[in-house]
Amino acid sequence: MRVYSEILRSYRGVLLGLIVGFASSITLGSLSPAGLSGSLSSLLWVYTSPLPLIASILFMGPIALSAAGLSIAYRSGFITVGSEGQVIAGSAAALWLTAIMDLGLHPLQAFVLASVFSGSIGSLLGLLPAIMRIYLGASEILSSLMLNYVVLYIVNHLVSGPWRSGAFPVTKSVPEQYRLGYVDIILISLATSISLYIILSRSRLGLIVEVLGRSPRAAETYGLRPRLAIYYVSSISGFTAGVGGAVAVLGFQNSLTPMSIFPGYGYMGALVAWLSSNNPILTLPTSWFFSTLLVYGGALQASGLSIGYVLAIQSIIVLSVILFRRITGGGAGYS
Amino acid sequence: MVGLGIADYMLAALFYSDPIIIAALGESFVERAGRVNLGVEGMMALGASISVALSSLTGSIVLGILGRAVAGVALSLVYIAAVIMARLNQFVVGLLISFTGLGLADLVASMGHKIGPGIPQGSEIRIMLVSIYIVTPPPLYIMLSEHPPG
Repeated sequence: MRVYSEILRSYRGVLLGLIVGFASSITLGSLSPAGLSGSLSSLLWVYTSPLPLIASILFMGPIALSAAGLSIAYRSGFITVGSEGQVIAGSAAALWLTAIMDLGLHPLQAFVLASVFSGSIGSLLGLLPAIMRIYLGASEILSSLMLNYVVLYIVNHLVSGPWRSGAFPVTKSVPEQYRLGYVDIILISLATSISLYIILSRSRLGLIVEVLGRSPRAAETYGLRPRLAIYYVSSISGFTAGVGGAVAVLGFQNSLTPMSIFPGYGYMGALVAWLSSNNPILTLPTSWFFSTLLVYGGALQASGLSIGYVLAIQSIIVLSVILFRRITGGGAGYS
Repeated sequence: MVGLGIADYMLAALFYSDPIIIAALGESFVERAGRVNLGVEGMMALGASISVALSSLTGSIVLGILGRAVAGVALSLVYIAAVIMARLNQFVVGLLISFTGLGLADLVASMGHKIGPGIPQGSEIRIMLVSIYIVTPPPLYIMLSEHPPG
């Protein structure tokens, strides 16, 4: 029931924000080389054809996984954006395990091993900003943002150096039998969101997270050990983002090339978490919506538009939603 | 053959640092006021592509630089509305502005075929840029230390 009441509370703001967001994305799309008719027809294509539907479900995997983990972290007031680096590190780890090492495992074994490995690396990366915040008082937003760049350049070095196969800077592909289909991705995202929702609503950690997010001092006074909770939420969000990277590389990327800019799944996860008022269940439809925008941007890319423009549309939507939500007085006020 | 001396490296570093110097000047103002604006990245990207587009369309560098400033101020107004008036989290809004600016910069860049050849070449560009970052800090410093807004 809490899900419905939260939807209702932030309903007006979200609706206004979505209208502004869609209007601005169509206006901006009509400025692109595709023109107004081109951008409208691409938008129609995305929501009516089977091909973009499957593509959007595939892209949804890393976004939904990182958003679900981040929603717990944001509830506790730990505003990290390290999910981008964790997704990249997770995909590199999964690629190393399945394509470069190639242990000849059963597909299910390979998936479990790859998610545990990628998730653990993501957790370690998530713990770094948490340790820096607790012991040094460093803002986790800045340190996790910088850590993203560190991870990006390390992975770029691996991809164009030791892991390169052949003349071009591209790694080996993940073998056919290890790849994930869209059904697998739906199941993984669903299972993650539901289990995180249960943690949040039924467990002791969930209670501590709620109290910590609303009043850190109260949490400390009642002996809830906020430091331990921050370690938990940062490693949980890192774990899910790392698994998201594994899903990205096993689902649709299949090999890595050096990245000049961030692929953006982790940042989109952060936007999704803000947009769905940090509710792990709501992150599922929201991340699918963002993923359709990504497919829409991909369709416009054929006319010479860079994919970074999609992130602009999504940011405008999130900004207008959180603004309108604040103005109309709804929402829980996490952001 | 003459190797590169340390002075050459210093000059090259100076060449690449002018955008950072100007952006850091503005950001230092914001941070003195106790706020952090992570949107600077987006403001710089949007300003850069708008100034190239404008100066290439009009053939005037001054107009390009003015357009750049207007773009930056427009994004700053969004920051003010969201952070100061609506009291949203400053880091969240900053990141959103950063992404928006980067994406809009891509959009402007993708309109390249309508814009034309690119910015007019000439030595006066360098001189103008150097004069901007030599002339702007002192008045800003005086404003910070002597005036009520500071």
